[in-house]
Amino acid sequence: MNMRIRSHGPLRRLAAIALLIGTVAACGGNDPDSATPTSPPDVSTGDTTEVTEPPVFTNAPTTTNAEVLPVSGGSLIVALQGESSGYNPTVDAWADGGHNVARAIFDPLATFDASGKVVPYLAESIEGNADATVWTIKVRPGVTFHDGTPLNAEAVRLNFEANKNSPQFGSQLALLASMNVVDDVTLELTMSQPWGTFPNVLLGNIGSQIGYMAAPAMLASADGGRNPIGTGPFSFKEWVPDDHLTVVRNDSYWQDPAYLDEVVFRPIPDSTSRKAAMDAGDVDVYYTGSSKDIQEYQALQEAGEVGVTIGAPSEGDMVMLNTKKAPLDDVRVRRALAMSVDIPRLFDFLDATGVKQPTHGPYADSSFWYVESNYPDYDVAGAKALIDEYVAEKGPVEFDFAGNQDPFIVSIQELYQSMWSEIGVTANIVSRAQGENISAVIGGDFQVVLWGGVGGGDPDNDYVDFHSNTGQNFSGFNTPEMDAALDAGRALSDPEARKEQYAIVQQILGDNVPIIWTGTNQFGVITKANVQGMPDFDLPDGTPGEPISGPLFFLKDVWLAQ
Amino acid sequence: MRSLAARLLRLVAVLFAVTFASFCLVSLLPGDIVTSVLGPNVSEADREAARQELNLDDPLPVRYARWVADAVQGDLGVSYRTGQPVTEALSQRIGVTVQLVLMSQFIALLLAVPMAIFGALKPGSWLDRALSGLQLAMLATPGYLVALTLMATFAVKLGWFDTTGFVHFSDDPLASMKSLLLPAIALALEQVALYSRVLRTDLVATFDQDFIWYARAKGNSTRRIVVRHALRPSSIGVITLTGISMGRMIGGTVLVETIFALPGLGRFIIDAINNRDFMALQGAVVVVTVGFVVVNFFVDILHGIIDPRIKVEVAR
Repeated sequence: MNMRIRSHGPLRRLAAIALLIGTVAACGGNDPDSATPTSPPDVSTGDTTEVTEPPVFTNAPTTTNAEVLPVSGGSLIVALQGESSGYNPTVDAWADGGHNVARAIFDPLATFDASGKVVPYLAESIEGNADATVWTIKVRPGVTFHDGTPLNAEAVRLNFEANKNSPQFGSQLALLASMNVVDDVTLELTMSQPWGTFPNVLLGNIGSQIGYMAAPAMLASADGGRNPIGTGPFSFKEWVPDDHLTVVRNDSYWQDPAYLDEVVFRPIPDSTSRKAAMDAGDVDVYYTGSSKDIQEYQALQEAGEVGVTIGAPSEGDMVMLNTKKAPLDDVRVRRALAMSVDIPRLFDFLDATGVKQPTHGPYADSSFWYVESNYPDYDVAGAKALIDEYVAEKGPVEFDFAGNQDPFIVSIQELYQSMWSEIGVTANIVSRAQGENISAVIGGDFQVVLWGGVGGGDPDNDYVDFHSNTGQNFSGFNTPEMDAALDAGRALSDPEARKEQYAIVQQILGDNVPIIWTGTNQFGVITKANVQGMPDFDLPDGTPGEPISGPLFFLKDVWLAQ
Repeated sequence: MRSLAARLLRLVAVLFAVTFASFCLVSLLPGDIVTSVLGPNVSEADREAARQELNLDDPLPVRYARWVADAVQGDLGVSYRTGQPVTEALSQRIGVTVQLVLMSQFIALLLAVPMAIFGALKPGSWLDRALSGLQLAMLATPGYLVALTLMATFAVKLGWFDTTGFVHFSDDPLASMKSLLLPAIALALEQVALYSRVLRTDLVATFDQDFIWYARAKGNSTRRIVVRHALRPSSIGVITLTGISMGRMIGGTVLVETIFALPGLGRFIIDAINNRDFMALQGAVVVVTVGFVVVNFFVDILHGIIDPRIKVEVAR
C-alpha cells in the first residue's frame, strides 16, 4: 500500500520509469495513487505560448477577497494516501503520507523557492566551497525543538550521523567523509569528492528525508518514531496507526506560529473512499494526481465550492525517439514529428486541459532550470515540408510506435498516429506488456515509444538519461558538448553556474529533438471552501516558497475562514 | 466444569498448533522483515546486523520457543516494523473488529430470519422465489461494490453518515455505532443469503414434522407455531454457520476496513504478512484463534439451550 522509494540510486530511477510508463495513464489521470518520486520546480504562472490555452498553471488562491485577514484557530482534517511505519526520519522511509505529516512536525534544512530553486529553510545558509568538496551549514540561532532543546550545530551533526549510520539512508550520504562542529551554529561537512547537488538531499522529499531535523532525545530513543519531536510548526500529540495522527500548534515556533490549533491526519488507503471523503465534506484537505479529478474540482472551484491548488510539475509525459534507427536518425524527421503534435488536442483527450502544462524540454517552462531552445513549435505545414524533403531523398517515413498493453495507452497512441498521418508519416502501433516494453527500450529494440521518467527535477537527476557513458540514454543521442556540460554541472555548487551548463544541454536537446516533450504531471491539493492559504507558503525571509512539491505540501500558512 | 477445563486445555493446544503453523508459514514466504524494515538498497553487512539484532538467524524452533516463553507471560513482543508493543497495537484494534463483527451479524440475522420464515411458510410460492432471487443477488454482489455503493449513496449523496473513519465506543456509543453501520451492512449482506437459505431449508423440514402438525391440529396460529415451536429446533444450522462466519470475520474483513479506513485487525494482519512482521502477525493470530474458540464455545452453549439433548454433553 505504501510506495517506498528509498534512495537516488539507479534502482529508484528505474522504478520511477516503470511507474511512469506503466501509467502514462497518470497523464490521463487514471492513477491518483502514483506519487511521483522527484518533485521539482515551480508554481508561478506558466509561460503561455501560442499553442497553449490561457495560463495553465492556475495555482489560484482559494480566496477571492483580498481584504480577508488570516485568523487563528480551528482544526483541519487532512486525508493521506497511506499510513507510515513510524515518524523517525532516519529510520522510517516515507511515501507522500509520511512526508506530509513530517512537514508539520519537522522542518527540512532546505526547501524550494517559488521557481523551484533549492534554498535554505531551517538552515540559515548552506554554502559550498568552489569545488563543492566542503559544505558549511549555519543554523538559525534560538531555534528549539518541541522538547525545549536547542537546534544547534551539534544537533544537526547528530542527525547527519544517524542518517549516515542508517542502513536505509546511509548510502545517500556515501560521499560525506567527515563533520566538524565549528561553533554553536556552524557545521562543516567534508565530502570525499565534489558534490555540487548536496543541498538537494536536504529538501525533505520523497526518496530523500535527510533534511528533516529531529531532536537528539528522539534520535536516541528506541521509541522515537512513535513520539516524534521536531522544530516544526506543529508538535506531535497522538497517533493511532491506521486511524489518525494529531498534531497541535507549536506556539514557540521559530517563524510566525501556524494559524491552525490542530491538524488531524487520516490515512484513507482506498482512492475511491478518499475522494468520497472529500466530496462528503468529511475531510478538509485531499490531494490527487489524477488530471481528471483535478479538472472536476476546478469546475467546483469556479462555483466557489472548493479550493484547488496545483502543485509544481514533476517528470512529464514524452515520446522517446531512437536516434540510432532510421528514419529517426534524421533530425528533420524528429523535428517534423514534434511539430505535428497538437498539444491542446492531446490535453483535451487526456482530460487534462488546465491541469497539465505544455513542455518544451525536460523542465517545465516555469522552472528555475528552464531556458528557451530551438525546440520546434506546433506547425503542421512546416512539418509536412520537412517530411516531403526527407521522402524525396530517402523514401517514405514509417516506424513502429511502442506502448504498454493497455486500451487507454493504445488510444493515446492512436491520437499521435492520426496527427502524424496528417504530415504523411505512417506509425504502426505496437503494444507490449509493461515489462517487455521496458526491456525492449533498455535493449534499444524500439523506434518510437511513449515514455516517462526524464526531466522534471534537478537537472543532475537526468545525467544518466543524456550522458553517453550510461546505460540509460535510451534515445541514443549524445554529443561531446552535452557530455561536457553534464559533467561540469555535476561538479558545481552555485545554482546560477550550474544553470549555465544545463542551458547548453537544453539547447542541444532543442536543436536535435531526441525526445518529444508534451506535458507536465502534477498533483492538485483540493481544499474545502473555508480552507485558506494553501498556496501561500512563505519562506523565512518573506519571499514565496513552493507550497506543493509533487504530492507534498506545507500547512504552516493554512487557516480556516470563520 | 470438567468440560470447561477440557475446553481450556483444547484451546491451549489449538493456540500452540496455530501459532506454530503461522510461524512456519511466514518463514516459508520469500523475503524477510529486514527487507521491509531497511529497504532494498542495503548492504549485506547491514542486513546481517539487523538479522542478528532481531535474532532472525536462530533456528525456527528456538525463535518459536522464545516467543512462547514471552507470550505466556503476557508479552507479545514488539512489532519489528513499527516498534509498537504488539499488545498495545492489538488493543487499539480489537474493539473495532469485535464491534464490526457483532453489528454485521446482528444485521445479517435481522434480515435473514424473517426472509427464511416467509420463504419457508410457502415453499415454491412467488414470495419464496422472489426472496431466493434477492438472496442470490446479494450473494453474487461483491462486498466492495456494496460498500462503495452504500458510501456513495448514504455518505456522499445524502450525507447521513461519515464516509470513513471510526469513533470509539467508549467515546460516544451512538456515534460509534453510526460510524460502523455502513461497513456492517456491507459485511452483513453477503451473509444474509447464506443464513436465510440454511434456516429456510431447516424450517421447511421442521414444518413437516409430527409435532408441528400436532400444534396445527390444536388450532395454534401460524405465528405462534413459527415462533414457539418451529424456529428453535430449526436454528441449529444457522447458529453453527453464524459462529463460523464470526470466527472468519475476526481478522478477515480487510476489504471493508480498507474501503472505510477502519483501524481493524484485518489491515493489521495484512500489513504484518506483507512486511514479514512475525511479532505482529503472531499476536494477531493469537487473537483470532482465541476469538474463534470463544465464539464456538458460545455456539455450543446455545446449541445446548436450544436442544437439551446436546446440553447434556456440555454440562458433563
